[in-house]
Amino acid sequence: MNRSLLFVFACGLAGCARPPVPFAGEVDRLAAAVRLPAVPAAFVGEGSLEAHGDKTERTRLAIEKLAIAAKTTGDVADTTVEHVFRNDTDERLEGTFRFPLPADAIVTGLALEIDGKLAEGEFVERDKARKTYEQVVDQMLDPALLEWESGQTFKLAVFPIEPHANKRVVLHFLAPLYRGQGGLFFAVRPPAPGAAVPIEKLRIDVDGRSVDPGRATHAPSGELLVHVADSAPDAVEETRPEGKYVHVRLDPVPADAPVPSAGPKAMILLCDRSRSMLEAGPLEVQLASMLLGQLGEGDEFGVFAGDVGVRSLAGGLRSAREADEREALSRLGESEPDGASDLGAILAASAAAVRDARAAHLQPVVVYLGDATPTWGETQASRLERVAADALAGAPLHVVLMGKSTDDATARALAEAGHGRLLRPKTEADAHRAAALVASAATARRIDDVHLVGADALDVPLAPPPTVYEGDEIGLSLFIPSGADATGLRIAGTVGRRPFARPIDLAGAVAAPHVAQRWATAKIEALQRDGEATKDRVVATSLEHGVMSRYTSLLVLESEEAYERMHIARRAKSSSPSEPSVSGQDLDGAGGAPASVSPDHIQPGDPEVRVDAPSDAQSVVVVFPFGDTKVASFEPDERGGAWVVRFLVDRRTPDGTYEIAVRITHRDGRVEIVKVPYVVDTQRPHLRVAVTPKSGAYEIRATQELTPEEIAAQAPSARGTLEERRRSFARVLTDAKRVEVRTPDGQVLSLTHVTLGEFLGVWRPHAPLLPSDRLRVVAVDRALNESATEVELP
Amino acid sequence: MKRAAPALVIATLVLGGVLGPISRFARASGPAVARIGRAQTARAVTNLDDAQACQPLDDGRVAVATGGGLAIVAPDGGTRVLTAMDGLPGTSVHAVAVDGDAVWVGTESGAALVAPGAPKVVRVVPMASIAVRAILPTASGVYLGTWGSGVLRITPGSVSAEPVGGHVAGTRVAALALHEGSVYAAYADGPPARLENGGLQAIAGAPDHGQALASVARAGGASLYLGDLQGLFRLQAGSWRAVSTVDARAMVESEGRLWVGTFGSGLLVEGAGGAPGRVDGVPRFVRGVGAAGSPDELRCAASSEGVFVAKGGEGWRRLSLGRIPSNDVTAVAADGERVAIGTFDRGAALYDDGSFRPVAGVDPSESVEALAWRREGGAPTLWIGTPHGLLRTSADGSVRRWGARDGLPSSFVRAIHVLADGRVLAGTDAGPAFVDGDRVEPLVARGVGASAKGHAQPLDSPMRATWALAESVDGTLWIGTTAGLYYGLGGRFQRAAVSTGELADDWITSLATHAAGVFVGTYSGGVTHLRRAADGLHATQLGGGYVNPDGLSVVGGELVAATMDGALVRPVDDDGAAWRPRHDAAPGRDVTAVRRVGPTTWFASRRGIAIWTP
Repeated sequence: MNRSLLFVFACGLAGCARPPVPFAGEVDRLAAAVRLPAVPAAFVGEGSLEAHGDKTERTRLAIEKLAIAAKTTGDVADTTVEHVFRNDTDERLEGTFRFPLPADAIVTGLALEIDGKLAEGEFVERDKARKTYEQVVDQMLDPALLEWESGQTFKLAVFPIEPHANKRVVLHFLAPLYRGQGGLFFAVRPPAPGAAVPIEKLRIDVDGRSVDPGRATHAPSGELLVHVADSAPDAVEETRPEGKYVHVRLDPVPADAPVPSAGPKAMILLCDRSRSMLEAGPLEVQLASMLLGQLGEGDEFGVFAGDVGVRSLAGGLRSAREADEREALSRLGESEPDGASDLGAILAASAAAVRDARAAHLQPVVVYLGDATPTWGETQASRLERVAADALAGAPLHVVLMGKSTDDATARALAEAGHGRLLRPKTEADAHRAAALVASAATARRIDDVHLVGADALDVPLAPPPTVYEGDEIGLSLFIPSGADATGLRIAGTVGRRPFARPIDLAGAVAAPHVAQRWATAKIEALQRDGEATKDRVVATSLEHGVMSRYTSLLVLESEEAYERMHIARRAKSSSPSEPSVSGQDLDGAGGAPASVSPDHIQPGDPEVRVDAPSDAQSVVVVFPFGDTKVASFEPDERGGAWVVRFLVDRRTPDGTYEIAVRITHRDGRVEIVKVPYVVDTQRPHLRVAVTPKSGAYEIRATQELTPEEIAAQAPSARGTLEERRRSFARVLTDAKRVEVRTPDGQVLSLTHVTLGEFLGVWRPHAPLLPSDRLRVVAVDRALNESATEVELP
Repeated sequence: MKRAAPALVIATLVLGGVLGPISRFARASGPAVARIGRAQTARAVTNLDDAQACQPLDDGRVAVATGGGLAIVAPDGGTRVLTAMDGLPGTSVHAVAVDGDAVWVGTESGAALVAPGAPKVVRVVPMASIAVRAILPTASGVYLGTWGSGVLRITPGSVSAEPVGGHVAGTRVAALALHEGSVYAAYADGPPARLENGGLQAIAGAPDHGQALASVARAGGASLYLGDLQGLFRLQAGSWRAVSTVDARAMVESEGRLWVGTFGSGLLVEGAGGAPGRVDGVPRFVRGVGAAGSPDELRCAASSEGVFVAKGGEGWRRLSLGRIPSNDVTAVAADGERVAIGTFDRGAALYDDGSFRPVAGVDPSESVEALAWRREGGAPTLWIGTPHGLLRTSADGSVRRWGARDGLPSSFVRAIHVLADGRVLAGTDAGPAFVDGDRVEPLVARGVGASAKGHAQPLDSPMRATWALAESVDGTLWIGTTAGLYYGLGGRFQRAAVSTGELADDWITSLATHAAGVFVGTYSGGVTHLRRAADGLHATQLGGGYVNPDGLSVVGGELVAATMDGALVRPVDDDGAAWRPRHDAAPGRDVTAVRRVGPTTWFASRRGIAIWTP
């Protein structure tokens, strides 16, 4: 029995027919005082990497670093979450990375560290991705595959995770911002006490500003909240050659709409008690208690618990008497969540209760509590909608979403089919609010029979819900093909049985990135409701727009060449142009991403400048710091192409950071000038090597130390003592990429890259050693500078 | 070699006394024909269409600054060329300016005065090896705009150039102009400046990526124009007003009108109402413009597609200077007297009957990394390695391309070697592969380290960037990578590297087999001579600096290394001998290949080719 159940019982034993609200008032006051969003219903948090090996039981790896970076535009944040996991064991492990996405987040990319380099993934049709993955595994390379698991959870198979080494996983997604009284916020869930990552290893960067988790504002529900804007435009748009994508936010219910009257009701609770509700089970019982607490004289209730089967916990409909409610709640609490979830069965089970309610002249109100993730029986959303419609026979169905792995799309489909509300409580305070909203829905101002007018020429994947309640905001994604007219677009319906219509103003839409991807996600959600029948269209939309779906996966291969070999087209992953970059990685060949990190460290040679300007630009001219100017040419490729020039860095170029100016003349004559830095680095990496005897073997630990010359060449303005400058620039300038050790007995060891600038290996001599024996340690950095040193043995 | 060594400068200064001065600045003359030991003569072959600037001369000829030297072009098209091999400080010429009967030349490595008649170098300005991008002769001296050292001035009667001080932010001078009696300088890395009281003073509030300057006489007084990366600006009442967003690269006044050479919008000329109009017959990307001061104005426009001229109101015509596609020659392959050259940015060309023609089927903007000839049924086929695949071109013009999709480990091909059995071995950015007929078979190495998972470790495998290839007589393959040298027979390989003690640098750029061994050229560790013996490899470090890709060759009993600091030569069989530098063997210091072609020797460089004839 857990603490939440004790709360239910304590309340019941105290005789409170209406459960008290021990924190709600205080929380509300606090929220109002600091002007915070009351219910940040979703957030960005951390993932987990469970790994195992031949000698290692399945274990959750420690997180060495969790870095969250967000760039906000409009009401979304283009978010990158970087996890660095640490394998503290002595053996190579295989693991599964899981990451629960925020509600309504859109996966747009994945990168994984392979052989010391970050390899960007590509969207591939699910079966082809799986087949390719297995084929590549058979060839003994190191691919990775991110697949949809359920709801908003994706899993990634990760192999190998080398002993005493780190593994880096970078996930890209669009996350909605949260609207509160003070504006828009980016919300991050801080690591819980005892979590895999301590808060001091959490780095948050929002719009280029570093956020100190220890000083950030917290929401009542615990999230760190970063204020990003006071408001956001109601409509955003993205124009592409095929037409215009628009996302518009509406709050359509008029303030003067009549308040409907309501009589006695029968509240029918459908409680998901499948295994996936294990963590949310206590909250579910709490919420059920609160919902029943909203009932009054003459009302009735029924409680159904479902997993692979359905059980009535109240024996059909019962009068809303305290003792009966307590008994039903007690039985609900005693039913340990387990097994699969037959969502269709529990929806169908409500039919008899709805009929009984109507026979008793009660207004049936059906409430589903669960994660809306069907894993048994009917799983297709469109069929579940029909099951719900048949069972409800016009009764409202409210969906209260909870659990670790929720299926937002199915939940939304059911709420729409049931003309109900969709709510996502996470905390006790949220639960109180959700219970009140459900209970008051029958008497809330609303628009019924909601539909769009003037949308015939448009592609609106997800129509507005048929019933919109006061205070509900709805978001619509539209595609307006080139030449189509959207000026007559209206939202219409009935308010108090009178016709209602309101124009949707798109003229004020603000240009923003990712709108097409948001539309594509809505399109995929609509298509996925029909299951496998629309798979091809889902895949095509997913690949075209670079967003995840159930039928696509993100496949990571070791190099661009590997993608070519496996006949996997590389597409632009983002609709927005990226910064140009200078690549020097061609010097070392395989695995070099075409748009590499900037500034790059290069030795004199012939690097390449790639500029992601539109292909129809009039010209892209690159002005080099040594005075030459080159005209870039557009090179189409499977990733969409880029403007490319190669240039020569003369051998006599001094070390330092240089800047290239790029002048882009767009098709419409607009001129854009972008500066691109690159670093010329000819300094040899300097290592500090420690050799420690360990039971017949030697542990060799090599650590790169920045030299004064390196720092002076690449950060000439740096001030402070050498140690201070080393600390300041360690993360930027440390660049050793491999270390080899030649031992006196003729072995050549390749040390494992443990963490930035640090390499580790174990040497077991094959022959007796002489006092004069030395180790020869060779280090190579990112620019292929090489150093060799002799190290004495202890 | 781009610049005369100090000893040579002194010598020419002394020898200059035999020539009568042709300019108040003339002090010396240099040799017109380079001649080095062994009684050989050299002919420089450079690309003259890579025009940077131009200036019509009073006699109707045009001086053209090109990446391949200074070209003096007569009205009948006859062209005389000066390069570093003729005494210019550098072969790549950025600026020309007429000064009386002589022409000042700004090169990548300094400035010189040229007598255009012969033509010949009459004076090299003693200065550091820095680029001179603008020259302004005035009554008070000649101003040199340098790239990195600001403005220098040569006062009349002085031998050297002295820095002009002042308060300016920039050091990279892109243009100089005389406006209302004052000298103005445009900087690529700061706002423009005006010379006041002997010092330069930055003009506040100005754009800071300057490229061009011109003063145009107006009825109400002269106007100063600044061409900047951001657009064209006019100085008006002490502040700069934007005139246009064009990328203005060069400007000149002619017939009272402003002519603007732009990058992207071609050549513009000020119309009657002041609005600029585009001139027909000139390409989009113009680097330089010039005009003669005579009434029958001869104008010129320099572009990367050559130099264009127009006289008075006549239409513009292109002067065909050509020769080779690009000065940046990256590869040379010879099959008897048949020669192919590859360039960094302008594809490949064949040498045929004294001239060069593009290789059919190869993109004219392709970057060539490697070349090799292969005989197929008696007919030669040319194999070309590029960042976009491996190409086989046949005499009939047909082209076959292989890339990663066809099984190559990577589409980026850096080395090609034709094996004794006729197969082609291609080195790519992800390892080597055999091409046999149309089949591609990646080279799979055995005998090197394998991981617990069973696959070859990248560090210990040849399956990474392969820059050099060779084959010994016994069939041993030598594979030079960025992580050391792999060598073996029958797919079993061993590795030689810095860590194993044989090499001085793991980044191998070139290989040349000889007798039982191999010469290994590296990026920065010079050349290592590896000899095979029963107990393994014996290594001798020969030094030699920075060896270019495919830069080693054995020519007439000598090992020649094409390095970034010139060509080096040594006896092939004497590891104790010293390298003999051949700094002046090519128009550019950065020598990329040396090949014997019949009786001649070709020295290719980043500034063109020199063909040496006994």
